[in-house]
Amino acid sequence: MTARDEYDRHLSAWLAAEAPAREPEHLLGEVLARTARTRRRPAWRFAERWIPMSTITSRLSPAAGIPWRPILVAGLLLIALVVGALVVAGSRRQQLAPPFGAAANGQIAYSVNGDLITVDPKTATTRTIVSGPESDSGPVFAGNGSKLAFVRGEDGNRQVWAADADGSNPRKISGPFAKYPGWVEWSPQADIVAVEIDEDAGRIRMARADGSGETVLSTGLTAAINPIFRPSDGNQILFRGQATDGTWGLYLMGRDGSNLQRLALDPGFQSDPTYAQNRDNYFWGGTWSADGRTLLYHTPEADGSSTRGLGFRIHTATIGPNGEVMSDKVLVFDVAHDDEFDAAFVPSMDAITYQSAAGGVFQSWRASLAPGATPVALGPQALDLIGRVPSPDGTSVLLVTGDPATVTHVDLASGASTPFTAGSDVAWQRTAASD
Amino acid sequence: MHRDLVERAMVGDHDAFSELARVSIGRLYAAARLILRDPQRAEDATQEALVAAWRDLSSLRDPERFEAWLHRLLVRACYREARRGRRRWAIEMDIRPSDRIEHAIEPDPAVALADRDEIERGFVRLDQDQRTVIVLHYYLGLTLDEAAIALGVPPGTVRSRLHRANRILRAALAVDAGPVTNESRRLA
Repeated sequence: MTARDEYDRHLSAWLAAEAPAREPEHLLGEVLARTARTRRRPAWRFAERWIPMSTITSRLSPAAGIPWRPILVAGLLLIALVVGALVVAGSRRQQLAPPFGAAANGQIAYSVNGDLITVDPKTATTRTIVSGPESDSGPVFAGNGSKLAFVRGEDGNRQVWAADADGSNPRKISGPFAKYPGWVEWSPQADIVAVEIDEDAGRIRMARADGSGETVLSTGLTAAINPIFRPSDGNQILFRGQATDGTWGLYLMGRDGSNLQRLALDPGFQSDPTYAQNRDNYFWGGTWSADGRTLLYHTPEADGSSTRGLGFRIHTATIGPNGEVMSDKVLVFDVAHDDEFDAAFVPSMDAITYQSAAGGVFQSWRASLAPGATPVALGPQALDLIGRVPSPDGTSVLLVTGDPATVTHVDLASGASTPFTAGSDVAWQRTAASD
Repeated sequence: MHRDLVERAMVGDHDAFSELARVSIGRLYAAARLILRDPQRAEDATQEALVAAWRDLSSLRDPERFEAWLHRLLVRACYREARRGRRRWAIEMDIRPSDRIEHAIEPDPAVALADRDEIERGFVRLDQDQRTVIVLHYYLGLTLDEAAIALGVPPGTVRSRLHRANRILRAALAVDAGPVTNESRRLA
């Protein structure tokens, strides 16, 4: 027996001994109970079953040229009209959306087979904006709508690229990395992309959007993840960090890495009876109001009302300009929910959207912040986390459920849901108001 | 895997799917436990994989590929479990107290006690990608090409991950064994 054979035998034997002998008794029953009430997806929903994906992709490509017979006067008139339209469109393109708060709805981007596609939500016109042999995915529009970041390559050679919002002028801005970046976030000025990489323990990359390089901010923490710029000037960055003693928290620092501080949120959290076993679940989902004064986040709460004993609850905290915590309140919309989490303000700031989990079923909600208001369920329930992409104008939301992903457009006023053709990595461009 | 069961399940026979789930669930759970190193998350990943299998079974073109397809669903579910909290939308973490699963299996005499400890120490040093490929190859017995399909990555990526994982495990064995005086302990 060779050393390699002996090693293989040892490893296989160790894995067999280490693996549990059997599954928990309740597991099969739970699975079958869930499958019995799970609606199956009909075969026609899987496009690749009927049509090769290459065919689908080619159909999304721009059509071939349209034949036409030139007539001099009509042609000149047409040219004049086109030039006029371009001038108008060009002048509009110069206007940028405000990076926070309400804006007009622009293009919706997502990836298909390694290319980036946009669809106009008004006309349903699709366009391939980034294509080629490389695998591109994960589009993220800048808040002002002018630019687009995305991830190029495969594991072992992942890169972050930036382009103009229409896909033109693509350039690499960060990488290569071994794995898919954990977070990509634009500054309000669209000049910097904050990038979080798994292997960058406690560091955040600030990649210049023009491709001229990047600055790595070292926090001295064990982990620094989910960086977001604080409205409205973006001079501060909020992120979730883990101190060397293992404690997680939400941290604030200048965009140059200065004045790092842990926000004094949820006082006494370390006294929770089950803190030690749930330590890694504290302080998730930090997101700002458009004015940068109110912070939403979620963290475990032992409120005694959950069937699971301990669940996430949403907090709303008022934060001063230098990171002072002026107030910190818990929002509980339905005590029967095991968890309420993943909250974000709607642009009008008088309501939030969030999701809940109860008995393993996930649901998105819109809740007015007026006293006594009842939350309204949004879109379909799901058996896993629901991705939520709000429309820039605040009137609707795209919900991403399942794997393969199903995208549903939900009108917030009427609650009407309609299927929407897009990938799971869908992003919605903000544009300047058309008036 | 019984082709007739798969074919019946594909057209919506829940009893047939129940039988498929019954014969598969132990191995799926065990693999998820090894990959995720967490009993509660392994339960969740196993559930998600089987629920997705039932939901999307009509997309399966070849019943003979059911097992490979199930492995792929499990791997994806494990990655989702591991990623929770890392993505913008993936925030919910399972915080139920975990149930300890009793190990009814006897230690394999092929692995000496010291080696078990050393392999354990090496195994916890692997990242998720490396653990997954080790489990697929050495525990589930997948070939590297089959593992590549389950992982949705090129075979070359699987080979490089396996190479790196084995290097770490062998290093752990070598280091934790202390000064090597007995050539038979050298597994590399």
